[in-house]
Amino acid sequence: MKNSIIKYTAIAAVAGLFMAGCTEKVDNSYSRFPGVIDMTASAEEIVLDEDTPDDVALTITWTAAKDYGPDYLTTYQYQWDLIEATSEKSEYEDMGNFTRTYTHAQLQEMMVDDFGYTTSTWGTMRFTITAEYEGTPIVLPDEDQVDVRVKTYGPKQFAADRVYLGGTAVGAENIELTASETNPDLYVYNGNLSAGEFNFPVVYGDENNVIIPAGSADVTVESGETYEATVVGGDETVYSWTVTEADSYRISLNFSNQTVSVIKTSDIMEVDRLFMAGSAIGASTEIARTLENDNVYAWKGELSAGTLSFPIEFEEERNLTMVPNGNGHSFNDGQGNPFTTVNSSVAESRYWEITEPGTYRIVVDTDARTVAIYSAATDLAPRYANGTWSNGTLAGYGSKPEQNTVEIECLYMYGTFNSFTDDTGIGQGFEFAYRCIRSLADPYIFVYSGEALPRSTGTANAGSANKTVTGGVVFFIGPESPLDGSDKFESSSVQNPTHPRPVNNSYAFGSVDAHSVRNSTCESFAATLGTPHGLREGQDDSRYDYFEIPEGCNHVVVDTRNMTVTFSQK
Amino acid sequence: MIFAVAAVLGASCSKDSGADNGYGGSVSLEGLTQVSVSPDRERILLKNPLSGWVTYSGIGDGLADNYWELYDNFACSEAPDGSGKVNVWDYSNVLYIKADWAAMNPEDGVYIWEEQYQDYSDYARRLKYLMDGAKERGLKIAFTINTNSEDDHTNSTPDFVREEDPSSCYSTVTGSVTVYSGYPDHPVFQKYYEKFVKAFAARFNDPDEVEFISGLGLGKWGECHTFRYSTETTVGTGDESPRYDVYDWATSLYADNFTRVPVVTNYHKMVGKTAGSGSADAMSQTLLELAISKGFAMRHDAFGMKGYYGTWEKNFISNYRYKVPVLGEGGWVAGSHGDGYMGDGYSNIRELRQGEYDEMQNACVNMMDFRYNSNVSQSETYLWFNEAYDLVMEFLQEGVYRLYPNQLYLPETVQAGSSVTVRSRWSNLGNAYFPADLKQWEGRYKMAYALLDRSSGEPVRVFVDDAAALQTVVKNQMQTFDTEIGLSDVPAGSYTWGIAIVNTQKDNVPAVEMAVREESMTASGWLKLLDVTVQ
Repeated sequence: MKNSIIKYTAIAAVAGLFMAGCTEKVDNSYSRFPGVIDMTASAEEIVLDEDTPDDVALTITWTAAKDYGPDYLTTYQYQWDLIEATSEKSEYEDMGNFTRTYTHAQLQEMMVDDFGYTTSTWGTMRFTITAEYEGTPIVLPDEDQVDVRVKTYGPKQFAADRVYLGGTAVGAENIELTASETNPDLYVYNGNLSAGEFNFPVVYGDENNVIIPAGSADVTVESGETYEATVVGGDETVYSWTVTEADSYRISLNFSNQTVSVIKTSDIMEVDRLFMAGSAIGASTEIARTLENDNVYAWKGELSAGTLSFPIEFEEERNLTMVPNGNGHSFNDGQGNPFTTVNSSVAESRYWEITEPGTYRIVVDTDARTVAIYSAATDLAPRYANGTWSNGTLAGYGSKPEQNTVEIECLYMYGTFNSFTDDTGIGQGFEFAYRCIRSLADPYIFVYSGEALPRSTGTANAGSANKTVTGGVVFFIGPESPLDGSDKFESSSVQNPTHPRPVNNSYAFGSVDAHSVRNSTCESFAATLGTPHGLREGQDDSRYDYFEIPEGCNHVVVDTRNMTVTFSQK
Repeated sequence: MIFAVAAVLGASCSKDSGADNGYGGSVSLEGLTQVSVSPDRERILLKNPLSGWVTYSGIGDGLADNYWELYDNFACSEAPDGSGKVNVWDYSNVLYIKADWAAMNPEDGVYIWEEQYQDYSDYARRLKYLMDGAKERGLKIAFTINTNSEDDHTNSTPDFVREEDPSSCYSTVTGSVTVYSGYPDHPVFQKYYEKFVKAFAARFNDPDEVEFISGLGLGKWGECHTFRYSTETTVGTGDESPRYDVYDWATSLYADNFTRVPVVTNYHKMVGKTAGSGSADAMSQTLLELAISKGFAMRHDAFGMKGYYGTWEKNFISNYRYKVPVLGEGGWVAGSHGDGYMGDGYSNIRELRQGEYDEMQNACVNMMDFRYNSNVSQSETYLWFNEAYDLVMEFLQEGVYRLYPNQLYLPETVQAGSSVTVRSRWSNLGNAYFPADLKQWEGRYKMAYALLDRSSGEPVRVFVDDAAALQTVVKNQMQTFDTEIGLSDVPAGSYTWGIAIVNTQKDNVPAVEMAVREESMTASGWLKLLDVTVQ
């Protein structure tokens, strides 16, 4: 039982002190006196020992605070906090017990359980004693504190101050790794590894540890795989990752995920932008990503005789380059040529050789891992209109052109979806913004990608037949550059120099499921996002075969080879 | 003979120091023994009067049939024993019963608390259920009566009032239901309300059973705003000419009838006005001062609502700090206001509770609220226990008054038949004050010394200090009281000095728990101080 009453006998002098206190004016002079309370710790640094949990690890003591006499009530408040955790706890000390004793287990519990601090880590415990006074005149508190560095015990932290790559796969000397500039938790090695083993010796505080495969066994790595890792003391049993094939690798140690990723340099395919380099192109030139496929890049233009390779830009760096998968420089014209990736620093001797200057089409498929180089002789043929011309005469092609004579350069969306709005200089109902552009990678593919398409409601017309359609659209052929003045797609029956109509009343791709009949019925088909829908083409009924654009669609791919259109949301 | 000299001694000291330390003067401490007492800062002082958490209930249809079972085993994620359940009555000693006048007094002369009417209605059965449960658990009860039907689906004013004179009431619509409320200035309303309050007080003006009565039952929700008077010429004209007279009448009605039980009324800037919000006027201050002059304590029912508990209310109550007890009730209701509280800047319920708590502590409230909801998991009680358990405890340990004598001067030997002047110095560790001078308590709680039998710990003699002003012992302001004790009728022998705050109306038994360690106390509540021999 605690004794809550402290007793001592008053003497006459005490009363005298009372009288003196009572005659004082309000005066803060007491507060100007320095405090006298003195706190001490039995140690400055402690490594907590899990094996001796009940042994005393630390004793904190303090002396009595400045004595302002019996006119004042002195209250002690004892506080302890972990500086790294910005947490604190406190208690009043009303019993005159001016000491606190902590065992190893108590300090461990205080830091790990109470303050949420990590195991096997150094931290700073701060102990503070504050004596506050109640009485008049007011005086400032008396206070002192001590800091004690304490290292908790328990599982080691997956953390490091310095990181190395070591093992027989690396060589005799460990290689020190540095953190990524953009991700301080990521350490990456790019370079050669021999067949052999590797792990990560690390230094953390006063510990020499090793990061090894999770689980108690060596792990044989495969390119492209990620492995869980753990940390052990350097004096414990150490396991490793095993490399069976000497090659160039990227090894990534992620402290946040506690994983190690392994990939051969040649397997890396991380592309933000793709470029052409070499004497065949001169200045570095970007190859655009196609609208229809994020993994395909295409370009068409003039090349000189010379070398050609493809630097990859990823996270604003061009560390890797696509080169022939082998030591040769030739390529199969018009076919996909396998590529591999190498560190750009060693790419100079790896290239395709363009032997004849001329116009080339380049198509890079990072999924198929091929580079297709098309010379003029092998270049992809355009799509021609091969349906029926019913009544038109095109300025550029004459009356009812023969099949496969009219090249399809572009498809223009037309219908109620935009209320048949048109831009100046282009035919009625057509807007520049709503064109499907021919793909450089495949001239049979036409793509719209941009803002979500409007879905206005209006009256679609099929000659003398009408239908109210929401988001109605068909695809008319037209020139890639509608203002080039050629009017080659214009129907002669409606030619009007003051109001050129380069595409309307012309050749169209519509829904094969709508079944409209010119001058009889106008029908529409409700398209759904992400589904290929069938097409039919011609200058007759297909002009009225409306698709109803699904809500939210901002991406349209018209595939005239497979005769489908896909409305999607990207 | 007993007399106190603290007032005389304090005058000379406080002139210079600003506080009454009581030192100096002619009182000699020579030969006395100084005793220091350590406080207990944690123990819940559950049964102190007008102190702690008030737990809400009511006799309406929303009351759970198993109210007591729920509250005896209340879900609490922070339950100290890890069981996930607490007994609310370990944290609260007052059951607050909300009732409509019409439910309590359905017919003229019929009062449902009377034994012959205990089966009169569901209201009657619920009232008995609540009162029986409170008695079984040793709880005090408190009441608030509402006469106003707005937002209710039943009439709060009894039908017989309107039946006697239809002009005594006005109608409002709640949902699709038309309900009637009495005009508080109408003579028929006043006649019957007076009759009711007198009957109510005749039964419940009992401090052994009732902790407080929250009046006046007028205005919207009974909170003394949004009045309608019979002088309105058309609905909503807002005539306020009867405002003062009605308030004067109602406060006197309660104060004159509840003479032994504290009465409480709402403070805000719209007292008696025909609106619920708007600019303050001087009359609100005048009316509240009128109530305080009659002995009313104050309450506010929108703590945490920044649009209703504003600068006016804060300034008003700060002027009465440590002069009038304050009861706090939060304004936001999680179960019905949705996330409206976010408009006041709170991100979540925890922040809302913290906001209410902070505002109530600024007002130095004596009591806080565990409000009820028929969906218990949405009740404010539930949210306090599950979102802010630390604040529940903090109020009990730091918010309520916690008085203790930190230093005493006592003799170890005295002569039988002589007199001795002893000294005690008191601290209050809580934010609230102990309203020892509350009118309705009639000097009930006072500091007293005792000579305790050393073996039994029971008092042989008790010496009550009538002058020690315990209401002046407030946080960070110690007070010292000198007490002259006459020992003329004390037989020689060995005793132990004891001290307590006793109930002078109950044989001077210790009645207010002090913030001292239990092991230093006798079974009956006296703090043991020092052995003394009477020669």
